[in-house]
Amino acid sequence: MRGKSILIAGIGNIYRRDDGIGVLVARAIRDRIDTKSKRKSEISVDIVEMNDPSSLIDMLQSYDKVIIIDAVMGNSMDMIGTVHTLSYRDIIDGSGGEVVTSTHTIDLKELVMLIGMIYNDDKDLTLIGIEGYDFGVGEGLSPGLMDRMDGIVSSVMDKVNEIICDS
Amino acid sequence: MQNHSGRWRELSREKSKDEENGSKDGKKKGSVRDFKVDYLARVEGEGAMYVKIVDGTVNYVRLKIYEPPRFFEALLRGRRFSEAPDITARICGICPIAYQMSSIHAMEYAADIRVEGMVRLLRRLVYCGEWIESHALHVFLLHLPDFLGYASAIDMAKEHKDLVKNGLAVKKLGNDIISIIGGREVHPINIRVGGFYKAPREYELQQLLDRLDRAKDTMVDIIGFLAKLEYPDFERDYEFVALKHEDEYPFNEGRIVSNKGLDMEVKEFEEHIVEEQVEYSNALHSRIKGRGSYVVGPIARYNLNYDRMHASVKSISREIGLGGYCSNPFKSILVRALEILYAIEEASILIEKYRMPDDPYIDVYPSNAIGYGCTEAPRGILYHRYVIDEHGMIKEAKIVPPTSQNQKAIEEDLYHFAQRYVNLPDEELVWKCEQAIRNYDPCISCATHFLKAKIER
Repeated sequence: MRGKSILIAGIGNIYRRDDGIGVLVARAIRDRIDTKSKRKSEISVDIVEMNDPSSLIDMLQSYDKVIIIDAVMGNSMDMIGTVHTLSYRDIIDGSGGEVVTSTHTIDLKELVMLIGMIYNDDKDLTLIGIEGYDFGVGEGLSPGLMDRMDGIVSSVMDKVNEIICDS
Repeated sequence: MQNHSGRWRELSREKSKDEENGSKDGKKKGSVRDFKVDYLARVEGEGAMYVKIVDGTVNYVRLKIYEPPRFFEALLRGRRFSEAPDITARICGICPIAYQMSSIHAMEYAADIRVEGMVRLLRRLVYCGEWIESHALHVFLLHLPDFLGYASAIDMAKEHKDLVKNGLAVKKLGNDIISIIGGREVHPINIRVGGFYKAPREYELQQLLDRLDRAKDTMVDIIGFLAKLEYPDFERDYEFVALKHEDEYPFNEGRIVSNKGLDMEVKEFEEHIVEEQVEYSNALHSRIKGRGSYVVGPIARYNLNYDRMHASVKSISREIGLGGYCSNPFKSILVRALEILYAIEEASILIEKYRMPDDPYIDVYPSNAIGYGCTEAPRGILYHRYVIDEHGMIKEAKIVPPTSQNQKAIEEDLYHFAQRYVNLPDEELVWKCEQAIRNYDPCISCATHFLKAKIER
């Protein structure tokens, strides 16, 4: 019997300051998860990073579970580094609060809705959003987010492990 | 017709003088209509449009965009030449291959190296993948809703599910070509100056052949469907600029030519094209010296290279009545679809010819030299120039993306197009203008996106 397949996608641009947090956390997780040993068991885990969420359209259908790690834009420095977790239903229904994306090609909510609509598929999808503050051009996270990096990675790792264990 | 107020669009308008005086007739003498769109729906990145109408006449149009290559030019200074492909790939989330290829060709030019054989073939093949993926995204999810009267791809998919599903299957095929050649785990990491870190085995590519055949049939049907759409009757006397190769439809190589006499080597680009700062935009506007605006992208490529298209694609273009020349930017959706078909056929031909090379790359060490590269990104020619010091470090970088080259022509289109529909209510006029912008598939703020969150618990 085929085991469960899980996709972890870190989305963002590492040259747009805090926009890169999703990619950097995905890289940190890659170092902590032994994807090869996972493949030998019942579960396979692929970790990818991408600048643009439209690539997800081509990938979502190939996995049983999808975890998207992305920067979210908060309103204050006080909340920087806060980790939010939203399910597919939270995103579709807006029950997890108002979550919107920019105009970058097709936004994440539209993308998820489109996939669900075309393939009649309630995706087992989790969005882990990390609040950033500075989305201007430049290398490296803003100091406030960088200071919280270890805690953010631990927090996201816990959520990822929880999802993997439930599979 | 549905509500066209895109979610991300923030439309604001200053009151006209007549409205302030209690009159609603915007055509009366002394009326001023301004509308400003802070976010352009279904355009990649962040952009804004401003149109000023005085006494029923369009006074001026401004397209305000943010352009990241300037930052990347600074970032590249002091980096090793071999880092350029990976760094510039981050400029655009949709066309990383184009940025990699232009930088690679520039570095190889600086080292006086020419890559041939199977490595050259793989470069054409990976570019086929990028055109298929990028064009399919634009045709099926971003541009087609305009012609069918929907506000978004989601609204369109409710009633045209199979059309969107087939379009996404074509897009996925492009993505899979890129993944096999470029590597999937992260960004296309397998591409380097001199070739590829690792060449794919024949069977990895051959497994795509059946899907390419099916995608070809899909696109022939879709082109027939697109040809029956109603297009605004809008044509202007453009100067089209594209690469022209001696016997191929261009991806990576060729001279830069135009329909009005431009014919130059890539290294002469800056002798004929100038970039100008405009006060209202971070982006530089390009123009041809002594003339003015010009257009790059699918229509330019098609018009200047129709004779290099496969006979089967030319046959279909004749059947649908397009022929070998198009000067209606709204029909760019048709030309993109024809280019998808070309790229699918070309990919099949290249895969059939492909034999895994013994050496996937050759060593390239540019030093104390200037390198020039220009390739055909999905949106048009993408020019790179690098000055390399004696240690192989980048002293200076210049990147001219297609969108900044098209920006002046887009504004001119808007000026004429908005005038034609000037009596429409603001919201409908804005929607019309957005369509005119989307004709060019502008990549306004390459490689950034974020989620704006307001979460209450």
